[in-house]
Amino acid sequence: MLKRVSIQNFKSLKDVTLDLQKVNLLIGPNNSGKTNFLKALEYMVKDNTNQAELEYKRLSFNQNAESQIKIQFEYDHDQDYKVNIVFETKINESSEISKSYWIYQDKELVSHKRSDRGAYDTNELKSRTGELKIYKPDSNRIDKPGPVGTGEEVVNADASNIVGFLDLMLSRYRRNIFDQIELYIHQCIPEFDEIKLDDVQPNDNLKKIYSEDKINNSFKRFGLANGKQNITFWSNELSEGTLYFLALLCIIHQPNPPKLLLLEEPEKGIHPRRIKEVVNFIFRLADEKDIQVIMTTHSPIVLDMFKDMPESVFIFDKNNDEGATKVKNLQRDVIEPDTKRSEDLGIEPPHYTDSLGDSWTVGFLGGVPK
Amino acid sequence: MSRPFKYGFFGEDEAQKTFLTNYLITVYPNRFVEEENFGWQIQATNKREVDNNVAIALWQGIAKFGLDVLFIGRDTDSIEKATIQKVKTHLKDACKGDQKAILMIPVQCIEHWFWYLKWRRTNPHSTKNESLESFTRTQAKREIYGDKHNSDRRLQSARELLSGLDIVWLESRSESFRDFHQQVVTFLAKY
Repeated sequence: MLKRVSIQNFKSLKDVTLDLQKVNLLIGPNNSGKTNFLKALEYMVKDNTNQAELEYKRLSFNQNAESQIKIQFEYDHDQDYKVNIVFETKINESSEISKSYWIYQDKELVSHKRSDRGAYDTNELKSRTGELKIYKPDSNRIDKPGPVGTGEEVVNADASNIVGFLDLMLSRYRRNIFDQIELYIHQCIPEFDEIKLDDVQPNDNLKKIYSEDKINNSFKRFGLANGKQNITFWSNELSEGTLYFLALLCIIHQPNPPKLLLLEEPEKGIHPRRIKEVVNFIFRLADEKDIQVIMTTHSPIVLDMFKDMPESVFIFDKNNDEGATKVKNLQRDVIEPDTKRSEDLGIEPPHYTDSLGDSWTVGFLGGVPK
Repeated sequence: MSRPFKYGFFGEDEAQKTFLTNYLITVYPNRFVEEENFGWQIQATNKREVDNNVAIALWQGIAKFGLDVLFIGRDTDSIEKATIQKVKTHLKDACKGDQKAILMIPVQCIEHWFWYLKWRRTNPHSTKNESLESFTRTQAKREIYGDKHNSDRRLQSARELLSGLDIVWLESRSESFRDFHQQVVTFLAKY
């Protein structure tokens, strides 16, 4: 499991370190650095070793071309807890990207390999994370017909290939995946009991969206059907929330999901009563498929679901003077010091976890807009 | 105390805060100063948030922001004495009788206090003791804000009514305002 992430001078992240858990929640106002954190993780697994980073200035803190960007991942060894493996990506002032990794045993350095000496294998990290994508489904892309027969076992970051994915799941993983997605849709939106796929002819707009190699494929659209009333609502007739929910189910049910799943606002467009179920799907994914999850939210309901694991919640804020992101861990940097302060004052400590969502909305935890 | 009292406000809406700010400036100029960080960081938006979080707001106000006093605003939405008493009891219990907590609990809603001020302005010579608090909150809001929905425009209307706030007269008309004002008097008497 990815145990610790340290980032310096990447976008608004001047100097942050997060000790991660199995499922992690990032909260904070807009523009506080949550997405930048996910982008730093995504950047870490890019195939760009020993190249020049053309976007170096744009990526560096305050667009200052004199600061070295550094991102570090620290893992526990799979078998031996006394072994730590640290992966590092650095971009120096000459825009050159270099990667390294260290192995420590009992905190003693055992091995160190550097890409600039030709000894570093990028696949070592990828085997731990899988392909990293920041999942942020785009309803404007999901509702369009798409090509099928393209072998889409992986859902795109914006879920734009959902038709191809569903078509493949229907033909190859019907019982394990397609039926499961259909079942969850029915459980959460009872008027729909079937996912339908239907052939369509690509129009000019679709031809513009898809490249030459895909435009020759068959195209389909998907819909959700109400069997009793014999009505099908095609994707362009479904609400944004329904589309988003289906996309989320597809992401969660991928046959080979990434080992580290990055999700932006999984509650987006979903009715408050259904948010719990969505987050529970994500928890289940983490448990059953041994996937580590990092997600952002603006929902107090999602935060409430972390009341028994405050160590998994990270509160993002921006330092107003220099625009640097500050990150607090709910357990270590809020609950524990406030409990200590109460003990010193001889008064009862605040019970934030009784209603975490409220405590955040009201402002007790930080992570609120000014 | 030689320096001004550092205060915070924890209440359900901006109209309450507008009233409080203008009240403190008019009646006790230079005696109170708002703790700005508490002001923007700690905010409730409805009754439930006030009721459920008042204890932590007071804890944070004192332990983290160094407040001398926390004003707590809560409309009762009722003219029933039992209901009003229940609200007061809940908030007092949550604050464990802390002398640094001052409750601002209008009968019905804060707009009724504004309405009294408006009535005074439109009937300057009248001695009639009109009990406006028996009217509903919807009627009071319509009276103060008209058809304005935008909160800034609404607050502007409320603010205009606060210029030249006549405390003695308002105390004589509204028992709930008197109750609030007396808490402030008692608080200041300790220093």
